[in-house]
Amino acid sequence: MSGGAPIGRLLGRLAGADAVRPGRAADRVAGRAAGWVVRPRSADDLAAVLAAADERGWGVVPRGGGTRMAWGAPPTRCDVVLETGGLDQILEHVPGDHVAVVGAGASLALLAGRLRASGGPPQRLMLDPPGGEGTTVGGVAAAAAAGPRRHRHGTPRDLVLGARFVLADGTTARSGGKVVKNVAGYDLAKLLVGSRGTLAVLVELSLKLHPEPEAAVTVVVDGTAPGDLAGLARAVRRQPVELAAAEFLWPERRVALRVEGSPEVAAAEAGAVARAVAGRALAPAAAKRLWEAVGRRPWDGPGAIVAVALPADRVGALVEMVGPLAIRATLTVGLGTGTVRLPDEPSHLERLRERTEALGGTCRPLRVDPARSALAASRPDPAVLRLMAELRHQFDPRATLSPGRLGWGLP
Amino acid sequence: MREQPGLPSLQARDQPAVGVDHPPPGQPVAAAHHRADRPRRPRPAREPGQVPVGDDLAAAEPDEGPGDGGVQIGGGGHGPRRYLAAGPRCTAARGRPYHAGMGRIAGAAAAPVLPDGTVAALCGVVGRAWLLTEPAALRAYECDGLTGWRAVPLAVVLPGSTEEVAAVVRILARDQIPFVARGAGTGLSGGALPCAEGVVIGLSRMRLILGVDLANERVTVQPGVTNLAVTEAVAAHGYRYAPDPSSQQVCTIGGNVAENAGGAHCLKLGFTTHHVVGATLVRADGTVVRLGGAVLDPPGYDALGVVVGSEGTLGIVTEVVLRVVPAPAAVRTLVAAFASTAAAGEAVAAIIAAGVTPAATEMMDRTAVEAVEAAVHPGYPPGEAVLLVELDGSEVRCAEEAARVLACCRQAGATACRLAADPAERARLWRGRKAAFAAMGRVSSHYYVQDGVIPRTRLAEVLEAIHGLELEFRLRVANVFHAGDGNLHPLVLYDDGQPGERQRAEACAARILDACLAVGGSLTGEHGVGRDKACLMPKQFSVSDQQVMHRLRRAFDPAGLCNPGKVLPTPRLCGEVPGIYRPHPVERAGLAERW
Repeated sequence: MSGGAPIGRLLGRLAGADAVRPGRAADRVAGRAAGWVVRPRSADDLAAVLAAADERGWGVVPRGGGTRMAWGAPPTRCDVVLETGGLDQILEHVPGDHVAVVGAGASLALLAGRLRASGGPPQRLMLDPPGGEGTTVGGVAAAAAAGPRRHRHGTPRDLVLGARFVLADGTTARSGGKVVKNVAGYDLAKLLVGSRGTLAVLVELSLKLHPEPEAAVTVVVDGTAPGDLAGLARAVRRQPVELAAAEFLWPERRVALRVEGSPEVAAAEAGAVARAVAGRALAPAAAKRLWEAVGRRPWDGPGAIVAVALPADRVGALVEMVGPLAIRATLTVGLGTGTVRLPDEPSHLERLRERTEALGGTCRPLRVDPARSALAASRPDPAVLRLMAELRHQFDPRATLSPGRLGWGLP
Repeated sequence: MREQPGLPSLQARDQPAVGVDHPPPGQPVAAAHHRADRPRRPRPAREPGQVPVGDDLAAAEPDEGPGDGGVQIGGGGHGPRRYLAAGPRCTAARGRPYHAGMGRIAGAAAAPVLPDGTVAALCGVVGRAWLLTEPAALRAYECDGLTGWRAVPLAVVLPGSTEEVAAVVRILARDQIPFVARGAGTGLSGGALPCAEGVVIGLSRMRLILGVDLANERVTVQPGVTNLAVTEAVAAHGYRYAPDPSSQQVCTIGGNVAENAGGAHCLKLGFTTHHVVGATLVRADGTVVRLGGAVLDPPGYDALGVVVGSEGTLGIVTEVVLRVVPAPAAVRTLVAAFASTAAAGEAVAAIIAAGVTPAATEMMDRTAVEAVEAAVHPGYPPGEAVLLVELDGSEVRCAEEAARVLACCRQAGATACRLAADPAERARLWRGRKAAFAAMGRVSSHYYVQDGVIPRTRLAEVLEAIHGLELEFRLRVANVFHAGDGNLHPLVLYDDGQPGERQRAEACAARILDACLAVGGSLTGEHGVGRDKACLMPKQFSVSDQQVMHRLRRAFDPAGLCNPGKVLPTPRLCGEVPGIYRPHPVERAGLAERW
């Protein structure tokens, strides 16, 4: 993009002068400088900015809280960083329906606060991804990010009931709804979840909520060898208990299992789990500290962060192979998913990916130096890539949104 | 009572497609002259925006077991006429009104036929035995469970493998012939309605369970495997496949994936989309793509997420990887009666608010209960509304939640409330719910079933509105529904022998759907849009929403060959008048009965 000032004036006309500023060093996306940062106050303004950029061939990178920008290749064009932070309203919360409709730019912390303040039995969004306070609902959805609660309640895919979004050409559309059961029309939200801002900009999400559990009891098993993980998972699974969370922490070799419910139910079920795995229940304060640490640990420190997914019964084998490479690994027992933090070096990243793929799994970079992110990214099949290219072409034919960030030769 | 149009048994109807292991001769089920022997009815006058109701036989709700009888089910509809320019190519798939296609079906000279080259190529792939072209054989495929919409396809192909499906689709794509995939044909929205200028691809030969991996809780199946067979494959090891549409004995996984099937027990564990982790998709150009797999979080877009529930419009699923879950250790079933449906609705709201997520929460009103008691004697306590709540989990959790649910029911003014004492009573209580649709024949000769969704807090209000519509239209409405997730199935009862009643029923059903949408609900919770509600989509989605959905469809199927005329409205699709009543050919041939 050339001719900075006129562009700034155009963006200012579309979104309001105080919603526009020149890009700074901190706005760089995977190393590429951002021309302008626009923070629209409404979805209409956002659509106008996007349409104008699309018409002119500018590259636009959407940004929520900015906590998950270091996942891929630098954008080939980065004329505008489009922030959703101005769309942070809690538009609707009907406690009896366990549904909230929120602006995509609302942070998880803001949402949690509003839900707490709404009176009645407390409710929450069952997503606890790492990434800190600034993490937005839209960003979490775009990144398909989840934390330990995934074990029971799934990922954003499972909790987003509907979405409003803006395509690159400024088209605003909606799919799904605000009811928990709905098969009318295509479930476009599922496609957008995890699409990392390459198909559309999410502006509003309808979310399924759950009651805040009355009580939780955490059982830990220390000194678990990776080779014993599969057996431990089986022993837990045989118990008639739906765990709220189950994480294996490396190198601590600790398994943490959380049971939720009323105080009586949680205690009784945790007792059964503890007996089955020869574990011990933590005191409430210790359990709280543990889960706070688990929430932070994948991101809390230096190194590259890579998400892994593999057959659940191979997790132990992976840890045995790549454990020595890792600074830390946090893996969900029974799902075969988790994150590995390791030195951001080519040999380490490649070895992690090769070993994971050899076990039938895949890797996905979450925070890796842009020059090396491709080393940690498992490549989809050619037929999947072709479909992705066709989807991208239909939704964003000029490759306006996050151009080049997916890699794999996609625009 | 007048002749009751019958429900063809799903089993009987599907016989031609299931388990054929010899060259199927002309299907004996189709009567040659069944169209001529019923008088045409004059076309009913319609108000703008009114939902016309195809007034045909019913079938089981996918949600109801085989043998459940419906009497009347909707046909097509006209929403407000805002059409999109882009649309599926095969307008013939609009499922012509039953009388409109007579000449064609009877083999008139003008009938389109499959080009010889196509026939030869298809035979080359599947063998002559698995290509049906005889009119009598084709007629067995002219509709799905929503028999108000019918179209006889040019041919039915029954491939036996992913490779064969792909080869068949490549031929059809080359010759620009549209196609419709079909499982067991139990769907209730005309999703498997053939395209009169196209081919049906039946997947009933593909019914192998390809793999069971309990260490990772995965089962891999071909699309023709029935829903129940998945649970049966893992039950001995203490596992089950969670989604449980009540047609689960016959409905297939392929169809479940297409419709994102639900069921009474989906409240806690989710719908099909939450249990499908991988699928092999034959795309509309015949290329094969594997979406997801046994492992979670595949790299790239979650295309599988939109394929599930896309009603067969984005390709043909030929292999599915399912997640199975441990069967619950304990189950408790409660039944409660209330002096009003509003009070029962309050109890449901209180249960959800109390933080209990039951495995199932089902409600029936007095009209439904009366019919059910007469039919299968479940022994429900008397009242204006009956609530069935099922809890599962550990013994201690079940006991505690049961106490909470009982308290919620009593607080909402339950006139009676009890726990099933033993498995026999539990089975009896569920038999009542499962038989609800079939039992409606006890109180009415015909009914129209609606499938709307509302926010759960608006239950009492919408039920009140439905009651007001009963009075306004001078019709009875029986309510049977999945209260826990707000999925209503109001059954508008009427007698087709009374002049004007059918039209009143249609109008009443349309207004019920309007009432659902007015409180922020949805057109369909589990039956799908299919052909039936395609023209109602503008009531729920803006032009721009629909245009984006069209863009998705074009990405998968630029030529518009894959199940055209379903899900999204087009001008030609919605300019038509729905058909008049005809019994199902299987029924007419005396091979299936309604009750």
